[in-house]
Amino acid sequence: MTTWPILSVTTFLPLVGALIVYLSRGDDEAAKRNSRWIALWTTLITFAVSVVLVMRFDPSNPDFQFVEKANWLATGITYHMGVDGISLPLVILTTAVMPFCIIASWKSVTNRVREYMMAFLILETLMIGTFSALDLVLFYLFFEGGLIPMFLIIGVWGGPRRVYASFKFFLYTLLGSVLMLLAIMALYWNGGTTDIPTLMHTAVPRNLQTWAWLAFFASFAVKMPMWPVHTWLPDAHVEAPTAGSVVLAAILLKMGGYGFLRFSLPMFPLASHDFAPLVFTLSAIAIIYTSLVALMQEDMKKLIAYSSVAHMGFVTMGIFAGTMQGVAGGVFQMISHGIVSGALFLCVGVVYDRLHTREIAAYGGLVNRMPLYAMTFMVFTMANVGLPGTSGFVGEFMTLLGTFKVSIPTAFFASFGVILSAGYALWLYRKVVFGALVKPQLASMKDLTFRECLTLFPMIALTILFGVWPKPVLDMSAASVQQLVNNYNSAVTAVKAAALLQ
Amino acid sequence: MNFVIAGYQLAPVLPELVLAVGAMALLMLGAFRGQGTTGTVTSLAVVLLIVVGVLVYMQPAGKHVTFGGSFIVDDFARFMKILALIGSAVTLVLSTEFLSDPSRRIFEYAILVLLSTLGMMVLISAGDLISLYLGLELMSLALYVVAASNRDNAKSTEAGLKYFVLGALSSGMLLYGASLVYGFTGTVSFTGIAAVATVSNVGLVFGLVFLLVGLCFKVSAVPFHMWTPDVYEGAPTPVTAFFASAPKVAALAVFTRVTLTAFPGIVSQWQQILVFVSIASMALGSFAAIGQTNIKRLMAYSSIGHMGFALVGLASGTVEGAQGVLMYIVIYVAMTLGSFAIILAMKRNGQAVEQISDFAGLSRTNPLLAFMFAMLLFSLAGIPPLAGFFAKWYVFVAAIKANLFTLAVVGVLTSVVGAYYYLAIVKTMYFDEPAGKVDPVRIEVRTVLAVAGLFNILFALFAGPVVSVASAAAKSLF
Amino acid sequence: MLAVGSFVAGLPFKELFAGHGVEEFFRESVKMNPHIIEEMHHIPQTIAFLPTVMMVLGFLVSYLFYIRRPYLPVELANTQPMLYQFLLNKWYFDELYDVIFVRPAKWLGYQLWKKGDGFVIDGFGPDGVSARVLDVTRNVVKIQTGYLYHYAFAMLIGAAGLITWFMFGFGGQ
Repeated sequence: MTTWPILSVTTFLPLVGALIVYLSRGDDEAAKRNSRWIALWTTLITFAVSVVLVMRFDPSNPDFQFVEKANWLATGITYHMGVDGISLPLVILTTAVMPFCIIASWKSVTNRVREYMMAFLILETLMIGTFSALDLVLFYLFFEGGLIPMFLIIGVWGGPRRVYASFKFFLYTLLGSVLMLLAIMALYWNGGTTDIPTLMHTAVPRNLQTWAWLAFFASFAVKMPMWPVHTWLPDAHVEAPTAGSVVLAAILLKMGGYGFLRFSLPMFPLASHDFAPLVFTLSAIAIIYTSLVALMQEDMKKLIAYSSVAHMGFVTMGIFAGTMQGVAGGVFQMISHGIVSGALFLCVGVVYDRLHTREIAAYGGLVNRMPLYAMTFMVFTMANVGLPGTSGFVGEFMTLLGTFKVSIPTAFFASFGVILSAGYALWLYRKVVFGALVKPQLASMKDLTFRECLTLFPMIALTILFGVWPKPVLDMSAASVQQLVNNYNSAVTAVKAAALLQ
Repeated sequence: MNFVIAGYQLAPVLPELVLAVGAMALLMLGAFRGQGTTGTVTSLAVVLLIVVGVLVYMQPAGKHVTFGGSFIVDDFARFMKILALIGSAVTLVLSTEFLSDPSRRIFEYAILVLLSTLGMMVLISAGDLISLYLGLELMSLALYVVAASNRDNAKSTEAGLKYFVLGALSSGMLLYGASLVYGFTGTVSFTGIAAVATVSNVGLVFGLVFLLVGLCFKVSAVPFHMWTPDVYEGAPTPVTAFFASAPKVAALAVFTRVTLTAFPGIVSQWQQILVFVSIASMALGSFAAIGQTNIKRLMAYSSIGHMGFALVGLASGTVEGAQGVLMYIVIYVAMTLGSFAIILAMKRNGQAVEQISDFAGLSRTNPLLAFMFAMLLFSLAGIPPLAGFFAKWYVFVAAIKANLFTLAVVGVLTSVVGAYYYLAIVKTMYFDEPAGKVDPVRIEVRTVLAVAGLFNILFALFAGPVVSVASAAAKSLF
Repeated sequence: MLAVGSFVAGLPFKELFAGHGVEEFFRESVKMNPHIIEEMHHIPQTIAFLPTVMMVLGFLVSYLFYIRRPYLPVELANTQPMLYQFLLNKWYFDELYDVIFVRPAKWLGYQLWKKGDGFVIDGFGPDGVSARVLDVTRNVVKIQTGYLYHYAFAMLIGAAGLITWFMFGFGGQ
């Protein structure tokens, strides 16, 4: 069907862009402008190419599409790429969010622009690669490689505590991932290959399943992040530049959820079944705990970071419910959270650029000066709360529904989180936007510029569109999710039946 | 070609002969023409090393044995020899600036490096305990002298002396072990020992322990590493680069050959030693490096840690393990030479700077240098997609296959600790304020850096061929 | 008139909470009947209109009070002081709410943040571990004394240790 390696082109186009940025030497204003434009065009073209992926994608086919395979390291370790209904939405999310990140950094990043743009473009390649790699080693390569640009983005362009935050981010995630690396090796010897589609159909001994599941869990739980290994996230978010926070919240966190869907459930169904109560407990704790913590935050970004942890709790809960609604809801929630949390960080960035503080107490009454901003922020706050009609609602509702069938207590506690999320999100909104405009430094705040509207309005459209019409995303992933859930359930029931017979 | 002397084939030792004769010819040149020839001698030495490398490369494939089994040339030996020759040649290239100083015009330097390299080649090809010892001593004696080659510098002299005394101690232990092994097996040849040593007895194991202690000293594995930080710091930087590359290749090669070909019958015995030594090395390398402020000292601990990782592969005692060691050492040499090229490039107003704090803000003053170093450091930390990741992949994958789970888990955990100090340097270069401009980098340093850096960054692209060569070399041992 | 202003200012906040409460209530009830999945897409929309309806109602009342008959609220307040106070303070609902839910939630949130995240998780997690690593580092670095005889001693101890290990048969013969 395809005559050119469309997936590889999507993946490596940003890298080419980074090279072009590198070649455009110079450090004056003109060079800075050039690198901004090159980066923007690269991300736009990448997005355009990824749209071709969507158009050629066959949603009724649950298997991997656009598959590319080439020799790489040795027999069993190949360059193997492909997407299915679970990874394609995430690929599109990545390519779609990146142009916004570049535009959002247009004015706010003024030093070392060239390096900044290169870091972002390289990061994009690594993120797309993570979602489309079909070989464990290749996956790990992209997955871990992303640490390097993100470390530099936080560390070079970050806030006052950037060193602490960047080290914490890097070492925390690395610690989780090295254990996964060992599990990958064990799987390699078990199956004789690191090819993901092959491994999905390779039986893994029960004992190895348990250990490998735990090792993968260590990595993805940190990346997600799940309670209690979430503490790197607020620090990283607070210190990262706006676009860095957006990428972190919108895409990097999704790698954990994606990992659970791609590896934990299909490859270790029995262990996933055994550990589901653990995941439920951690998710429920995460939802309530981090929502309570979010309630007390004084820093806007930290508040949104904690709320991200809570929302990711819904995702893990839905995924490990192992039901159609749960998993589909998890996928949808990831996409929705990608848009909403990304947009919320952009909203914070808008006021941060003007006042250079993220203290909630420093704001108030912005609605008087910035009606457009107030409206925008309102939409995303509502979506964060999970108001029906916004995309946030669909994902939360479906995951809750999916979990309810499996574990009533988890669903019950998780729904408490929804109340709390309303509490902190509205509280934030009221403190920042409503009230009297008394602080003198706020009196001269300008409303959204054209550039900011350009980043935020498409996201509003998507949030509401997916809220009232979630079909496109759900349809795209339905076949793959159905297959995943069927395989998972048949593996679990087979073992249960075998246990009954004995 | 069919040279025969006293019934022994000479073709397999042709590269060594050329190297030996060439070294002596250069010695004559220097001795008769005086110290003014230092530059010429060094350049010719590099050419000689390249020629020898080509000769090694052109040797017919397969296993060739001569001198009654004392000298083995197989794929493994050729692989390691070329690597050692590259290491020596590159460090000689990096030494040109050090030798250009009028007070340090010592042509013997290049000769010593050549002789040491000759020792390494003999060591790599050693087929019995005698040639092992000969090669080891030839290599080490030359190393002791080059360590002290900066004669006016107290630290350099101290380094040479310390290295010499401790090296003599380790040689003594190695010799003692060798004689025990000989006593309990009745033979010095590796194949002969392997035929006898199928069941372990205390005497044989004692011999094995002492033998391995001597080798551990050469690869600077804990607890026989104590010389490393002091010598690395004290010796002139090009010499340190040399210590960190070629001799490690040779020592690791002989380590692999001795354990795998002479003692395959008592794997479970030496496996315990290696597991202990590699865990200790990885842990100490990672923990102690964090406290360092001098970049050369840090590199010393880093190399201790890396040798620990390489020994993880060897500890598995399988073909995969040997392949892991080969992959590790190739990548390690590239990373090390690249890093030392950067350390050599760090000069302010003609003065070499060695403190980590001197790297502050390098990304502003010399972005390319900083970028290359950052990539090398990430690679040393084992972060994909850089070369260092593949090195770790191959040793740990072997350990997992051999069911050495504890070793593997401890290994990856220490690699996380180790990542901290590499990150700390990246932080210094990228997050801190500049500490002043650095001098323009010399062309030869730049070349070395470019090659090592690109190898390191783009390794994922050409990993396949390297892996297959390493795999063939590893198989030739079994 | 100032009092009336505060009444108005309180409105949007209260309405948001109410609107959300309705939605939340709905969600709880749906979960009790999981089989009505088919209908789930219809119901939320209708419920979502509820806040809108409320808003329209509120708008009508405000219109009546403030624009059509501005004297009406004042009259009402004067004739019924108790009711006025009660209404002015939004039925003291906020205070009640504050005591029962908000303050404990905030207290809990603060504790979890500072004690849970800051002290327990970070203290025993990343920060604690890195501090211990540094402790180990300090001690390890001390081993490197610079004295030759210490170095030789370490080597001999190492060799002796390995020998002892095998001599007493730990290595398994």
